[in-house]
Amino acid sequence: MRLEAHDIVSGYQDLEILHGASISVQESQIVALLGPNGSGKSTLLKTIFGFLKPKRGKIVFDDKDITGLAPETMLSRGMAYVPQERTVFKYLTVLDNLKLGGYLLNKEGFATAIQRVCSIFPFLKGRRDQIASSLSGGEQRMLEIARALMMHPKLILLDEPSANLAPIMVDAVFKEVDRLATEERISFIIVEQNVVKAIDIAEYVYVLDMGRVALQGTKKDVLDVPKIRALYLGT
Amino acid sequence: MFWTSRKFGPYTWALEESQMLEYVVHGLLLGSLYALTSVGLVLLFGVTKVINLAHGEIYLIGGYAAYTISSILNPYLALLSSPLVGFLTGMVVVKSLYSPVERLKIPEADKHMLFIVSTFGLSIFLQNLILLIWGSFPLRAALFLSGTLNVIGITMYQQRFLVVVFAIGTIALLFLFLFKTKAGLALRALSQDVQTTKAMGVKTDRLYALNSGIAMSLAALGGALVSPIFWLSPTAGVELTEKLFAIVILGGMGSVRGALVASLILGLVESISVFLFGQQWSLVVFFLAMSAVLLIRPTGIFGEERLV
Repeated sequence: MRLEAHDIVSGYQDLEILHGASISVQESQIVALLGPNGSGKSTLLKTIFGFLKPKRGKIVFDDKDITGLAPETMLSRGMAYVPQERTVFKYLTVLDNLKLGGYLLNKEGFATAIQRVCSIFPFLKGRRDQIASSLSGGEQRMLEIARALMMHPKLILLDEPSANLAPIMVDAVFKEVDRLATEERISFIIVEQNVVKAIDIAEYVYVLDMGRVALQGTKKDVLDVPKIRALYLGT
Repeated sequence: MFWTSRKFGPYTWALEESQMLEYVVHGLLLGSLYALTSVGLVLLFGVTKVINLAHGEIYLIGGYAAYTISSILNPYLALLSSPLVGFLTGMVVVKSLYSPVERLKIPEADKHMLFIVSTFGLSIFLQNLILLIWGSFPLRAALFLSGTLNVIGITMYQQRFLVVVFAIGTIALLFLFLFKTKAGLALRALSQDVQTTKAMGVKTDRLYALNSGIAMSLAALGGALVSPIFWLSPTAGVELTEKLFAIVILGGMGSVRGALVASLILGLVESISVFLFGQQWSLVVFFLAMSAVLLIRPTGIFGEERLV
């Protein structure tokens, strides 16, 4: 797995938010996308997944040009997107939520996918017939990730996984992400406000500012930049 | 006034107790008709957020189609083909009215306004279409089943029994569809969150057409089933639409179960109020009952957010 987004210019209708950002992700790598509000982090995720069409630039996924393809094509090519808002179907059962995650799979594909997902997240097994709104906030987040795993993605785009979660739940979610990256060899791009946590699990960090990559490097490189330490870590 | 009604007063009560049962049975018939027709209204509102002001006319189209087919060919063929007519109407309505509006780049609230106005237009169009084809003179189909039936001591016309049985069977099939098929799951998901459902790879265009087709075929089936019982006339759909809205609101906008319960309650209330107070009071009692329940539960019996 390898993703290259090169020189992306994108935004909403007349509003250009990204002015030429480039990032790349390797297999089993967790990449953190940081930056102030409005710097274009979420826009970059949405452009990679096909919700927004880039006005310029090229996105290459597994050596294939996927620039401007529709989201459902991304799903079947091995990419998944978990948005920032709560998106579990509250009034459907856990199993129905997972079924929707594997909507594009055939019967056998679905059977293997559900088995795999339940072995990755054992807590789902006993609660298949429970209604999703009865899960805790953290469990709902995990269900969203589990639902994304149904299509057997090689890359998952996570938009602010820690939003609206209790701190202890944030830890649990990040632990699962770390485990998925090492054990299942899944890559992640994580957009986060919780910079400390994000830098902690990320292997590589991009800092966006005003729609461009202002800074990038491994965890150690980034932590060595005094400005970052001052801005985000307060040391 | 109701106290001068011949049905009111304790001394007549014992005499007419057996008649009362007949009104209960009639209430069940009304409830079945309301259930079949209101469920479609809920599906349309729940999945596409469309308030269909032409639902009563779709019911009429089903009734008139059954009238014509049963008089030319066979009443059972009418029961099969009327829902088909409704289904096709539903598909055409989605393609010609819903999809063009949905594609417009305007705020959601404006779209809802356009949907309402366009279904109002559809209602007027269909009324005039009926006038053109079948004329203004009230019509009634011949009974599919004459004769009566004795169920646990209550005598009922077989035709009415047929309506109740068909309504229960059809709604059972609808539940099977919603809970056991992929399309049903996608519809339940769409009623909660369109954006996320699309992100799962669900293609919505065909589902919207299917949903509208099912909704309108249920209304048409209702019309076909009661075409030998109630008179058909070009404007008869308007009163039904009004009652259906009362039912859907009472059940909790967008809840299938709620609409079913509300249909049964209001069908019985309407029929029994005829027995107690006379025909002229039935609509008054119908809407009073709705208001009374809404005073206690403003979001309706089942609340608003779940389709089923």
